[in-house]
Amino acid sequence: MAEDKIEETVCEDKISALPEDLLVRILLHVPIKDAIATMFLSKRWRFIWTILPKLEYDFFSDDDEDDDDKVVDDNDDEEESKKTSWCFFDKSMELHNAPVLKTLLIKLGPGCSSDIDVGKWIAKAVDRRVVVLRFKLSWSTGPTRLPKSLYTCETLKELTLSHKVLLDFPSSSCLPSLIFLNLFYVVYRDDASLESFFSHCPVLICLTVKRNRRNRDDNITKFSVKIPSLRGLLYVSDDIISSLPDDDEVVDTGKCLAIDTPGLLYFSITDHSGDSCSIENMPCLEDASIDVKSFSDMDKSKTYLSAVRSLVLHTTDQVLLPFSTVKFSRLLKLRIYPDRSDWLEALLLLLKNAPKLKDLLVDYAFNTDVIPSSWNQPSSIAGCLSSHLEFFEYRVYGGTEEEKEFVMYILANSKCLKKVRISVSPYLENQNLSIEELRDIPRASTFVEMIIVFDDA
Amino acid sequence: MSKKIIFESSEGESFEVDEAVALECQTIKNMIEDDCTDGGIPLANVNSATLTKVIDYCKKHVEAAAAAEANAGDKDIYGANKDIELKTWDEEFVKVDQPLLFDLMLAANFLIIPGLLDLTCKTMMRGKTVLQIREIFHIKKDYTDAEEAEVRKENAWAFE
Repeated sequence: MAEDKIEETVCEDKISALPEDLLVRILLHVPIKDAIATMFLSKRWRFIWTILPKLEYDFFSDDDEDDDDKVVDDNDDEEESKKTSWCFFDKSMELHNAPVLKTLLIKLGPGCSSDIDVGKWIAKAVDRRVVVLRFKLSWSTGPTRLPKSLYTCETLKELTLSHKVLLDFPSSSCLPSLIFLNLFYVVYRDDASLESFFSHCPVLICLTVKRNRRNRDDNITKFSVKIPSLRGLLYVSDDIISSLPDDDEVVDTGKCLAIDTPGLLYFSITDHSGDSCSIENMPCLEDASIDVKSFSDMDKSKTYLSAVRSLVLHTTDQVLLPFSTVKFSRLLKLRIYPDRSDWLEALLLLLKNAPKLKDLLVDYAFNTDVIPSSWNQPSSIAGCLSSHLEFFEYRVYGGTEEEKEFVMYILANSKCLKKVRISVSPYLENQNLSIEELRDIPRASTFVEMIIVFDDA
Repeated sequence: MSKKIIFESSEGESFEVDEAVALECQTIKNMIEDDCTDGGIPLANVNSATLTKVIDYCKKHVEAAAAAEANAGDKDIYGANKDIELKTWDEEFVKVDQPLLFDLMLAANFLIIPGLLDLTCKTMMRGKTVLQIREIFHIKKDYTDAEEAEVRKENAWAFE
């Protein structure tokens, strides 16, 4: 009898006795297929999945992921599994019955059939007061429009739209709660519709835009970011232009990016498309990352950028040289990724104009061409070295005479230096010798923690 | 010297912890604010083994938060390793047997420790099939054969 009792307690089904909210919490961490399959466990579990506040569908197979130009072979097996996926998506969205669907994440891969009506389910999510919506569609059919109700959703705080989506913002719509907006390779109805969209997101704080200008459906002429509430902007135009005869030559594409964001604190731009970029207004900027060929109004751009505390420069000559004459009176942190540029001279000028610089990083990993930089011993020592520079990092040290001179210059003159980290290029012929040399460089600061490693990149 | 809080487990064992550690539990935080922690806090539904683990968790997270704050200034030069370290620690922390994991989840739910509740819920069914779940948690099928057939027929879309 006593033994039976023990047996019983050991095998007690404690989990089914938990309150519903805990079961929901547990199922939220289970992939949707498994979460739905728990309905077969017992009556207790029959409808738990239908009240989950978050649904995540990912119909990308591993090799589909982020491969945008992929051509998909249509064979029967795939057809069959596609149908199942579609049915699964459709049915589960239909039966889902939570009063609030806080998060809906949908990724539909290249194999997805064109008669899928995702709009219906996005509309349902809007009805169920969705807060986070991420939708990625990569089918072979053209870009699709989303239901109009999406653009008036009062609860939506985060919206991500990717790929085959046509952003057609109805006039008089508004997204009053939208804080985060990500637009990845989508297309837009026209310039005016895009501008209207941005102007009807009154509390938008963070905007990320990725474009690929090889996408012929992207018909925007002027990509105008005019958002008073915006604090962070990340803009990437990541097409590699192979048609450009000479990379240094700026070809006028007739298209432009115009940024007017009076509250912007963080700004990152990567744009090699050849479109012109103009900064109309960003007086509060704290943090900038710049990887562009040039700005259309260099003087204006320089004024706004000169107030930053942190600056990342992916540089070609065209950008670095004009910057070397700007007074960066507040700059604390500088990261430089030299690329095919004679960067040393310009960097030394820049250091002289950044009297408060505390943290300097030079990363040579992205340098595609080896153009020897020239070294001319500066006539005077940059002010930040003697009074402010504390951290110096040099990545992928290539051991050229110029680089060595540069490192010597920094170490010999930086009186407040606390930490130095140098990673030595794996292509360097005699790494050990270089490391010896680096160790022996005389230093102005007596309390330097010096770390020299082999670069593993 | 920081203030101490005394917990009492269901077995009546006393555990003395720093107030900062106890504050990780929202429930205790409310009690401290209402000034009703004198003479110890009896936790009738948390046993000693579970309480020891809960205190470990809270301690670690208090320390990690303090360390992160202290290192905030020079985080960039060596990369943000601290987060990864804490994540790894968490992963190791929940490598316990099912009953203890279950008790930890209940304790985290009762004491309101959001991080621990999330961690234990996440671990509860992770990587398990429905069959395994039925076995591990001793979930009895209470559908009649007819009912089960119906559920399966209606929801044929839910299996591959």
